[in-house]
Amino acid sequence: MDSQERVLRFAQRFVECFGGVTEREGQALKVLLPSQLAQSLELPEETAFGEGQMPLPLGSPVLDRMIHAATASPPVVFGQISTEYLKKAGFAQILLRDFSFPNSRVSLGQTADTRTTYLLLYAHYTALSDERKEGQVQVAVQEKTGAVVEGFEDNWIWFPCTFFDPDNVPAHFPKDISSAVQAGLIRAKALALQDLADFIESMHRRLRRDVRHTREYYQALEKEMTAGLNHPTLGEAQKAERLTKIRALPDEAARKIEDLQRKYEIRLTVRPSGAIRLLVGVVQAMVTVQHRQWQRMVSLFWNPVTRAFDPLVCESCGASMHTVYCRAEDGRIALCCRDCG
Amino acid sequence: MAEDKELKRKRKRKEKQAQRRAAKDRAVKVYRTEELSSLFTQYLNAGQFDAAWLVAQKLRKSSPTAPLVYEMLYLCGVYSGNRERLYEALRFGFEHGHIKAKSSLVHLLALADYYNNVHLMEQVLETLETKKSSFVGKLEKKEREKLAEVKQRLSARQAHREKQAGQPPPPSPPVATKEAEAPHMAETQDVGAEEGNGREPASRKPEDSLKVSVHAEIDPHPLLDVLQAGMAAPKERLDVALEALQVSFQSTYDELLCLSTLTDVDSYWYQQETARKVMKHFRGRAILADEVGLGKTIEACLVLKEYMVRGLVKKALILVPSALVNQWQAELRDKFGLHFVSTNDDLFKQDPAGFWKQPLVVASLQTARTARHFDAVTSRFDDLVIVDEAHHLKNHTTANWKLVNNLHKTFLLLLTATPVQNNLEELYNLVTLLKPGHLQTRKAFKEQFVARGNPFDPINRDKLRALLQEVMVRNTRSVAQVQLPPRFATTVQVEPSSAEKAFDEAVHAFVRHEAAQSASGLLKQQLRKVLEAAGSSPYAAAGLLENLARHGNGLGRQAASLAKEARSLHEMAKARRVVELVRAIAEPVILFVNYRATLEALRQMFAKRGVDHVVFTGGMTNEQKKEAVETFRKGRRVFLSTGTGGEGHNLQFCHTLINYDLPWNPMEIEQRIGRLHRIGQRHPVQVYNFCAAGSIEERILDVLDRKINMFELVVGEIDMILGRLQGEKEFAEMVFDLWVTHGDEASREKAFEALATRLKKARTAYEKTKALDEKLFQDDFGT
Repeated sequence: MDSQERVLRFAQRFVECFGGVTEREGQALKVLLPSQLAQSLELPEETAFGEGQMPLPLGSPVLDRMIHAATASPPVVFGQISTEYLKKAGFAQILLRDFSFPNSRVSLGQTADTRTTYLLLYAHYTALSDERKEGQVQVAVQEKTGAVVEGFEDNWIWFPCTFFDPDNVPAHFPKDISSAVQAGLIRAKALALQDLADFIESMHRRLRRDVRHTREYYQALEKEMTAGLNHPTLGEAQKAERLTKIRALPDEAARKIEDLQRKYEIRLTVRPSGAIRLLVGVVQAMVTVQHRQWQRMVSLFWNPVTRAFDPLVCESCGASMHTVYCRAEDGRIALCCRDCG
Repeated sequence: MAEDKELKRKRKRKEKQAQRRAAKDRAVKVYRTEELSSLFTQYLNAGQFDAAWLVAQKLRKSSPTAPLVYEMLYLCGVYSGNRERLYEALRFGFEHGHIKAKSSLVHLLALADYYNNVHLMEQVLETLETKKSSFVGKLEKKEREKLAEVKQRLSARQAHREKQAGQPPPPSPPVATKEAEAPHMAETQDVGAEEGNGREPASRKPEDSLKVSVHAEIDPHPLLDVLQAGMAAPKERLDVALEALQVSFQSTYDELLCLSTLTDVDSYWYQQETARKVMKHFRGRAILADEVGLGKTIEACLVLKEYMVRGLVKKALILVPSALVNQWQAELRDKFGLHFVSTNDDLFKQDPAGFWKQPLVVASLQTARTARHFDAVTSRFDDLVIVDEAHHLKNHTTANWKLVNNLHKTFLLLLTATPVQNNLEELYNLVTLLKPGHLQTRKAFKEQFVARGNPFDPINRDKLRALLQEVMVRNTRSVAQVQLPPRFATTVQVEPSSAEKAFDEAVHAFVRHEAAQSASGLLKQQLRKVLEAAGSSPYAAAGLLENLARHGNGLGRQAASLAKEARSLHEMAKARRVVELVRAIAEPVILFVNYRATLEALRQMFAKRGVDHVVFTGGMTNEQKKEAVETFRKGRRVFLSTGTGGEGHNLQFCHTLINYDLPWNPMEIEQRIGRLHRIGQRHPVQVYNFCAAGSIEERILDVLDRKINMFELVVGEIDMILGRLQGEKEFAEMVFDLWVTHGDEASREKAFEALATRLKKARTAYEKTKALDEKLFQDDFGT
């Protein structure tokens, strides 16, 4: 699909989503805009884009306004995933498969069907260096625990999903999920850095190359100027002046290198661009964790979408974990990741 | 004994448990692999390559060395036509020894060449040469040619590097000492592995461990605000938002996003290509050396605007000759929608420290380089610095060069039509500002490229051109296919009335007397302005004389008296002559006047005499200005405008210009003519220059027109010539000094003759420079 066609299709979808009416005629798109939308786009209510009409190139103010209107506030969609069948047995093996408790013993207790909510977070990242890179990543987080659930974001589409009408969202969804959002964005940042690995590496390479050239140049210059001090026709005043210049060279080189470091440094921003909150039927399993003389009951959630237990969350740093270390704290067990445990 | 048995039992139980766990892990792994493989196939068949790629990456995490992973990655890369993914797949295959076909190796080599991964290229070549028999298939002709091409380029690069480092060129490709293991990709080579290969081991340098700093920030607030407000949206809304972001992704420079934000800018294909080349290949550091009149300003502003739209530039500093500050500020505002403060603004006079902290600044180079402002300017961190007329930086011992060298900047653009004016070292000085060391040290540069006794003509021309092509763009008129029609000038000499003559003489005597008495630079400037204004009209001079009258001393009293005399004059011989000329010309005419008082007097005369006209002044709003231009375009006879008139407006539909008064600065005359004589003008441009007989303006015209044919030059060339005059005084200052210093006619005549001779020499030198630049750069530096 060429970029113009892509832009027209976006414009069509945008107008229809915001209450307008569209009609496609070959390479042109006729639109009838609601008055508020027409005002915000600074267009007449009846207008047309595309071939022979108002052009809509990338970077045009009208297209920018559309993009701004579409992305100004991240949309949050609510839905429910239905599963025909929830696992009934075999959790003990799955527990062993999904978790490792190196310094404690665990035993599986009761299980029960229940429902919990997941946040499927879409995040947009922008990396600015001496060029610009951007992209999108998806992260799934269990809203109750803040655990990042890998695999959920790819597999949920295979399950029947009903989206709730915005005016008719059931009350199951927790009000405050700021820690889940935070956990999701932290993971999104890590994914963005992974996506940008080649880009970051290329900036490393360019920086090293340019710094090397700069250092070599100033070293060669210093060498030449120092050798030139022995020139027989050079007077004392000239020698002194040249020495001053030679002494100033390292500072000058350092300034150039500082400029290069600023040139290539990468500023990454990750922002949420939208979210889907999903109500999912899961199996809650009660697990007893035994560490030395202490015991603790922990809830685990078996997720039908990933067909695995959702990870636990380190009670110290909030990171998601499958290898769980127990630490005794004030007479109770704290569950931690390897770094915190 | 019982204890031993118990321990053994426990150990056995643990082993069994471990085995069971391992078996389960394997089973899970196999299950997961099959599951992912099936999912991958589904996605691939459905054409969902992004999803298929994700699945392959997942499998790679759990089974990093599995051949299946390579196949999946490779198929994704091939089917989606995504070069980066294919590169990653082949690299992965090469690392883990999964590549079986020779053609795949050559493909990897080509991609490594594209991504400039020299180390990988070397490894692949080595593998191809030493383990050819381990790979299947025959290479096609294209693949063999590609292989040869890459080999040649690589050995040329190595030879160049070795030579630069002072080492001998490497021998023929080394034989690998280890054959059994798959090649291992590493950033730096082990010293041990290179011994016995006839090469010096690569020593670690401090920059090898340098990493760019990555500052990452997350911003949860937009989503938290929505969640707190309890707002829900339909699914389609989310889809549209995600699609909007995809559409807005601005990663490549193939499309310039800023073009649709420009106003009244007809950017030509070569200007857009130049902007792309500067950002994509030169990474924002380049010399823009187009021939005069081709629009280097537009090119630089396209780069600036594009970087700003992409968020890469927030702070910019533009350094220009003083005479161009207003023009740049107006063009940036009117055409590019960018609001820069300038050194002509009140802010600069009132609060210089605050001024230099502004993000977008246009500054006079002469002002910025002074001791008073040097530290403030060089403590800025600018994302982009543009230097116009960068031939003023040709000498590395000057304050100009030192200023630019000390600026902190990420991107740097140097604009000059003549990067070489006197000798090649000037070029060296410019390039060193962009990339220190690109042309090595000065001594090494001279040894390599400058012939003894001929600083103009380079030796090793091809090598120099290759190096310059990495930092410079130069579009020529022939390549850009841009031709401007000629321009012609006519001097209209007007005999002033006796009253006007008497007034002029009085003013001149007054100025000469006061200039001789006073050493104050500011007063001299004011006196010069009075003379210039008197050349326009007595009414213009009256206003400035009234300002001087505030001094209150002898000077003030005399100035007051002269102002009174000026206001009492009612005749304007030049104005009557202009009306006659306008009536004689059948076409629309642009009439430039420097002073509002003169413009007002002319306006009244036109109204009285029934001359159809429209007025344009700098004090009008943008809307009013647009309306005035439109009214003129629709059929008015005269566009009566002050000196700023038409900046940023398209007036090329007109081709007749009258200079009612003459600015003493030829660049301002040039700028006036440049309103009409520019790309887009289809007719020869006729310029009428009015002056009073015996006036300073007549002298100036004599020097500029008769002696150096200024009005026949291509737009912009006069600045090239003026820039060559010795010393750093402006032309207007030189003229003033000559006029006040030489009281009698004969010595004045001689002094102006000497000035004309200097200008003629400057023009000859410029022509020589032009020829040299054409010879050196030819047409190969364009886009």
